[in-house]
Amino acid sequence: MSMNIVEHRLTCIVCPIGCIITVRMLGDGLEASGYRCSRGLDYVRQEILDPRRIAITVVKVRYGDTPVVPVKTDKPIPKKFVREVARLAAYMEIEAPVELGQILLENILGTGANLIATRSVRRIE
Amino acid sequence: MTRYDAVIIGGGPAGLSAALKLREKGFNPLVIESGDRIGGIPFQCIHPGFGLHYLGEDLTGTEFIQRIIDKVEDQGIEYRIRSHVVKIIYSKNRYPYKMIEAISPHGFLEVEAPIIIYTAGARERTLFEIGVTGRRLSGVFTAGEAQAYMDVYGILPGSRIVIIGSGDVGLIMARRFALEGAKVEAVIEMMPWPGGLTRNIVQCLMDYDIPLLLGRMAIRLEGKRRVEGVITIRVDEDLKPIPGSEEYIECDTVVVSAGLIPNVRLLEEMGLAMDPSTRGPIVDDYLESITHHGIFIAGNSLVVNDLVDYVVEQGESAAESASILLSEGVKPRSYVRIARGRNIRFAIPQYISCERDVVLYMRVQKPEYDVRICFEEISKEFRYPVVRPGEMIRLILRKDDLTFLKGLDRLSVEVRRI
Ligand SMILES: Cc1cc2nc3c(=O)[nH]c(=O)nc-3n(C[C@H](O)[C@H](O)[C@H](O)COP(=O)(O)OP(=O)(O)OC[C@H]3O[C@@H](n4cnc5c(N)ncnc54)[C@H](O)[C@@H]3O)c2cc1C
Repeated sequence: MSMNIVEHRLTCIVCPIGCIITVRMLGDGLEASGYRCSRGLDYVRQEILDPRRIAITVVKVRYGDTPVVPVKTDKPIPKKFVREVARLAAYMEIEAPVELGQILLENILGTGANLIATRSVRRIE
Repeated sequence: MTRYDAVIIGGGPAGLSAALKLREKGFNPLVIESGDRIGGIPFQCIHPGFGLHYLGEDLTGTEFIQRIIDKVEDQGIEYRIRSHVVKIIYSKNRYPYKMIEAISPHGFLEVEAPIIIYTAGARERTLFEIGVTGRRLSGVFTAGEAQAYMDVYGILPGSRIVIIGSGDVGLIMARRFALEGAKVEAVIEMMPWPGGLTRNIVQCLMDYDIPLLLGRMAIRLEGKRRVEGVITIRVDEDLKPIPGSEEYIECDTVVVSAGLIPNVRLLEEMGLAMDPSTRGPIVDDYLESITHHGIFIAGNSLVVNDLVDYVVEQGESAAESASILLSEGVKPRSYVRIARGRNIRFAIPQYISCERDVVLYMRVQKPEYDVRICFEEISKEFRYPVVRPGEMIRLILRKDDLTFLKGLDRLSVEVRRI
């Protein structure tokens, strides 16, 4: 019987050394080599099993002193949702004023993260 | 004529943090900013990666600068926007003061001050400075321009993008384009290694399957009115093009991310001594010009920084020095020169007084693993698992160690392998 072994090569981003870590997936198990410290191992485990990112994009603003406001998710969300967030945000439009940190959308795409404004926008009529 | 304790030229993070520090010390500064708003570059940086060292928090550029802007407003610090400084008239005495001339919506602005803190940032290198030929086509932007279009004004400048240069700015823009639905055909880099941080290679390029072409140079743009493609060529170890290795990449937009150069034209016109290795002014450990008393320089005008944290540190340090000068007057100093050795591209400050601790910022010429950075005359060394040109090195030399330099005129620094 042959077992399906999937191999990944990842560059660790925890510190500036940038170890190249090889990860072998054996069924449910994970085997890694090439890391210099345990933080590297934690990094690849997270990256392989549940990669997450902060999503960033911009949202249209009516009556603002700038036509868009930058936004982000207030915590990292599964990587596969990052593009979805940008797509969804492209259809949103809000009204100025906007405050730094204001929640624009709660629990975005069911990720448990909120979409928040990352700067303030003043209102101009 | 209006008088201030200090005039700060440029309202980015360096200038605003200098203004806050001067106010904290009880002085009255004026910030002059040419843009539509204060904030500088971080105002258009919507990605995280700001403030980790300074605030211990990972913020977006916009969040980071909004906090500083809010403080500036709270403190009632005076600033003028849409006011572009065109000339500095220098006098080395406290009296008569230095004079700053600016063009503003309210007409010609003349301001006097005994101190100038120069924080006008850096400018981006253009296509013409990196030897790319071809007609002047539309669809060509610097990375900073493309960033302002997308993230301040909400306009996507094109749909098939080629990025020239793999510094962090280029990598970050590659991700922004990919995320907003444009296709990034390639990032082109002449050097055999990427310019940006590993973190950005992974999270900006690999995450989005964007090809990074190392050891390739863009040589020519093709197209009639708008750019239609870029011709690239492979280069050898000496960065000489290899004939016959040309390749064509189709695109409708070219983004140039070929590095920043300190924006120091006004300082050059005044005749400040400049350092060819940083392309910024030569300063001492008070961040004061070595040739012009009362002129302090911080942020990207001093040296191109990759971290805003260091920019803020320099702004505060320049303001602290300025407040010493304002309250205690000029004191004669003697200096020791920092002498650059093996694999040190630059070191800031270039001269040190040995009167106090020194924060030293340096860059290497090429990447190396397992090294020591050695200071010969004071027998000090610092170990690093890796040094890279893309990551500025910051270290502190203690006053106690510097006393060994009595009677010497130089302190040598070099990178040695372990
Ligand atoms: C795309 C990009 C991404 C970055 N990402 C990060 C990151 O992830 N993390 C991080 O820590 N750092 C990052 N940085 C670096 C950081 O943004 C810069 O180091 C910092 O903005 C430099 O601050 P500064 O005040 O020196 O210059 P700037 O922010 O450039 O401000 C200079 C100001 O001076 C004004 N000015 C210029 N000339 C004149 C004149 N003659 N008269 C009046 N005003 C004038 C300009 O309009 C500008 O507002 C990034 C930079 C860029 C470009």
